[in-house]
Amino acid sequence: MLIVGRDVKLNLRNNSKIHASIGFSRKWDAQEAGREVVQSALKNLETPPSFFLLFSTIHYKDHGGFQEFLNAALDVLPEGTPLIGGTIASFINNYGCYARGAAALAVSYPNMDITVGYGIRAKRNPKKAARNCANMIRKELEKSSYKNKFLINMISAPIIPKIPFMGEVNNVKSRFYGAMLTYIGMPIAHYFGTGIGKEQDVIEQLALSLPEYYMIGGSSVDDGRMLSNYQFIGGNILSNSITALACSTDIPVFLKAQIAVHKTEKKFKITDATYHDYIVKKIENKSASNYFLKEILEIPPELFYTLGPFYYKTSDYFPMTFEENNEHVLGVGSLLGNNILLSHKMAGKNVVMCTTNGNEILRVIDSLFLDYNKAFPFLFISSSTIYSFILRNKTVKIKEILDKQLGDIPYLMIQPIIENIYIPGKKPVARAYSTNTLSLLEGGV
Amino acid sequence: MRDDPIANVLDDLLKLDDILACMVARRDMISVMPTGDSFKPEVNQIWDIIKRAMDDVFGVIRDYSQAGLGEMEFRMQDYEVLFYVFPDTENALVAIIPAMANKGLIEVEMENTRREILKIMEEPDREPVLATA
Repeated sequence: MLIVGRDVKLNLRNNSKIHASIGFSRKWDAQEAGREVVQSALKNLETPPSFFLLFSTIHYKDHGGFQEFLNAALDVLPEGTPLIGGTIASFINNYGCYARGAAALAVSYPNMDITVGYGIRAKRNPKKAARNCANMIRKELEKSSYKNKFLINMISAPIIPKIPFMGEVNNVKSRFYGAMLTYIGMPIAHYFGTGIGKEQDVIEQLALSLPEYYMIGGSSVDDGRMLSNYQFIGGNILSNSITALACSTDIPVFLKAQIAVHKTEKKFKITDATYHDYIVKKIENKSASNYFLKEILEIPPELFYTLGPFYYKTSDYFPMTFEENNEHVLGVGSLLGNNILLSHKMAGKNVVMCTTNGNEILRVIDSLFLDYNKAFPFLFISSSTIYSFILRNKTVKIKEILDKQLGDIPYLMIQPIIENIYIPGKKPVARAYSTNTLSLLEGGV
Repeated sequence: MRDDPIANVLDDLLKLDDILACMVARRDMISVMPTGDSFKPEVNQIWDIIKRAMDDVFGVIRDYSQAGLGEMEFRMQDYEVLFYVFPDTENALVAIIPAMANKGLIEVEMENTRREILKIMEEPDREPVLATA
């Protein structure tokens, strides 16, 4: 049943000075999984890792705990190896496609300066958290002589707040309670480490503080319930935080992003918003939730709460973008009475409804590496977990495509709930429905 | 049954919170169950009616498996029942999940389970438990 250790030869390409290896475990016990995921990565690595990315699904929370998981991992990892990671919904690597387990990417290369940083209370003050994280990195790497820089981050994803007498609240029909949540519940939720993730603020601040770094990352999440998530740094388990690993090296960085949605004819204008542009109050000067249900989704608002389950099973197919910022793609987080909570921050007022489907997602994955000669030493991919929500058991087709395109190149595709990317000179963006790929261009591509 | 590797694979699947019950079955017959021999308690109240509906679905699977029928599902009250058919047989991996569960991630693991079971079934000295259609 356990696949680790089978005869899959990863990496070890001739002439490459960069060695990379994929770690993997399907053990249920946190301690066993932590140990195995590191051992399996080290097994294929000829030299000690320069850095180590460690991810797991949320299941170890109830099977020994994440501290045990991380302690066991560190027991077998060479001391002092820079490590970050966090919880993710699912992952795909050379071994398979999984919504349960642990995965790692270990990279070894002598000409790299590496450090890690973190920032806490990311939901309460995302810019401060990002600044603190960036300062740690800047301080450690400012003397590095290498010119090529990249940063990998994990940010705490939204967590549904627990409201007294109401429990964990997502959709609220009542206008009164909707207003309460809009003006009181959501603003105070971040004091308790819950509420929206504010990833856009984080990545904007990281880009401002470290403009020369190529950045890729995602929001750590549970299994889609949005009740808890954790970020790893060294031997520490954080929540409501940012963790980042930064690298300076002599090899050029490869970073590519693609989005798997297309626009529809449906458009509307947001005419009033609140809570730092995360909650929409009015669309075309009418109640946001009524307008959205009636005019956009064409669901009678009075039936929505009967059709709620149907909506939630189909809403992944209808994201939205902005005429002002096509790069941003987001969805509806929840309906709060008359208002709409967005999955992340508005990036304009003129919304264009989009759609997607399984074939479109697979086409995007298929086109990822067509223009390159496959000389990558490794690939780290942060890709929307919504792909798995849509593809369901056919998510394995993503793996089949990657295997075909990449051959024996070690790759790890993590599926966080929101992905972020920053390419120097361009706008940083946190969004869903995207696939972002990081590698190094050893020998040119 | 206790040492059955298929039962062990089902044990793994059943550990997922949203898998309330799982089995390898065909019409009128559960071939392999998890080693605990029991489902999660919430299923018991609805098991009889679900079992009857399942048998009807297995009739369809028997008729269309060889035509390439791969998956089926139905929703009853607050539950959904997913059928992952073993190719060219009248058997399926069956899981009962809450109707509002995140099916995308569950089905990623259902597919892994189906593939693991198929691999076990292909082992040369394995006694056949799957009837062909």
